[in-house]
Amino acid sequence: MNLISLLSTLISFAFTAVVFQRYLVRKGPHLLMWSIGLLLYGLGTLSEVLLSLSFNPFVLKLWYLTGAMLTAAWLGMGTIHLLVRRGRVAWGITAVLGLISLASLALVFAAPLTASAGGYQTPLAVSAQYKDILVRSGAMTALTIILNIFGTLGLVGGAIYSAYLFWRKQVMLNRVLGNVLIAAGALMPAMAGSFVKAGLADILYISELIGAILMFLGFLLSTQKQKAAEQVLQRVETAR
Amino acid sequence: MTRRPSTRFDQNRWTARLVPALLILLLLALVATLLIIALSMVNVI
Repeated sequence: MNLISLLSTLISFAFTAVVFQRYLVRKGPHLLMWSIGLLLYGLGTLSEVLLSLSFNPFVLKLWYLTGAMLTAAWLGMGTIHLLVRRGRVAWGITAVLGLISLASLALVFAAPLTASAGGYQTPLAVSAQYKDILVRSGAMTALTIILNIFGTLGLVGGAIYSAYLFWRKQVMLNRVLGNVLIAAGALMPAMAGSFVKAGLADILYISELIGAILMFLGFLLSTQKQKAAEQVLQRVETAR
Repeated sequence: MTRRPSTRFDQNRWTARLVPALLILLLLALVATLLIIALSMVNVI
């Protein structure tokens, strides 16, 4: 069994619960979008766990849809809701993303599998095998790339921008550092995914785990009450 | 009425001093990642 992905799944579902709980209390649309993105993150890593036990065409397609296509985009959408003050613009982009997500779902589940599916090896990483099994149309590949550019730019770029804004105003150091952690965590699977696309070393599983941990820590640090956050930072600074 | 505690921080704290370097590193990593994704779109890699 793929224990690294299992751990990533547990962490990302716990993260989803924390963010969704905050959404229920505060009602910010960015929290709802992040909850959707994190749920997709967890479904992607859960698919890796299931695919390490036995091959299933539905799970392979679920892995590609959630992990490769939609997760980054919905997480990035959350950050866009947070940063774009004009609600109509953000909701307009959300509507487009919703339609693209539906189109992606249709494309992925309509995609045929090759005969290589019969030779799927559960001990090997799915990211090292899917290209030979899943027939990806030009539209699917293009959407995957566009969604990942949009999502990475939104989530990582947004976190870097937020950290810079708080840094420049010299307020809320916890949010500065929290956003640094979120940006670093989000970059982990994005970079690993790019390595896989480029045919380089497959470090996807471990990068997903580190990514989930860093983003969760970053979110917790950013959303802590000021006094508690200051205590955490003091502890880190004195432990140095 | 009680005043809310200030959220201002001293940029000379070591955790704060790290921030500019970290932001530049993250920005470079972001550009590199986006470049790889874009290049894979035009089948350069």
